[in-house]
Amino acid sequence: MSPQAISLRQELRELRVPASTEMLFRVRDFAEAAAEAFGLSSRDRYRVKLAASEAAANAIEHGAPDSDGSIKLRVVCEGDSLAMYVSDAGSFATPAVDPDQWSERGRGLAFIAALMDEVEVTREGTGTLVRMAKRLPVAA
Amino acid sequence: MNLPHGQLNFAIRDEVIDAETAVINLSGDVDMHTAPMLKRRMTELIHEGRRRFIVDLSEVSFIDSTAIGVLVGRRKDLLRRRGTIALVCSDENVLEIFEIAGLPALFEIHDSRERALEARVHA
Repeated sequence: MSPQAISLRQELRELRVPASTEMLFRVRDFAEAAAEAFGLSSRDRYRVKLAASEAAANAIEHGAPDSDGSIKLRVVCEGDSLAMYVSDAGSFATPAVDPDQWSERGRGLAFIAALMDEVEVTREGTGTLVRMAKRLPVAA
Repeated sequence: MNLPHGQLNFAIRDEVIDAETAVINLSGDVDMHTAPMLKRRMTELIHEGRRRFIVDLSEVSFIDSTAIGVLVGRRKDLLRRRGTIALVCSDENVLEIFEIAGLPALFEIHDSRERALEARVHA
């Protein structure tokens, strides 16, 4: 995906991929390109890439093995922050999600919390939405 | 980077150094998709009797919590066999994930393969 010529500010970028782990590299490329367009430092671009990959991996794992659902990433500028939203589709055939299920999924969410400035996990219908945000450092 | 469908940015190559020691050279992205290959190979080598591992991350561009989990799991397997895992890594981005996971204490980290092999001799 080539970088947009238009600035990211106010622009919404969206990526939808099949919920398969072999798609994670596309998630990372997408997140890193958005972080670069937003003007984040090299280290922060890597952190954003890693957080996006972790959130997407969790979303993929959450889906049923033979589901043909997809996961969606959206990136948007929110004030001085780059916000990423990762959601898994409501078509996943999973039992009712325990609000604490994220804490049982291993290290992923803890990593995201350490890498990003803000993390929120909410339930939407039968799916899950993760919002992660990284603040742009105040310009010198 | 755009990869042709089916081609992974990942490679694993192991070398047996002696009866007990193996070096595992990883390159590219070690994530939820590719980490199982690392797990499979390390498990095979452990069953063959190798108990000292050097995992060389010098050519790794990305590593996630799944991969960390594989290393922690093998470390647990090796504890019973009085084995060890040392890592080779000098990329500050990759090192950060080990710090976040609180793992520098679990794995010796060296900045070169040579230093890791040398440390093994003196262990």
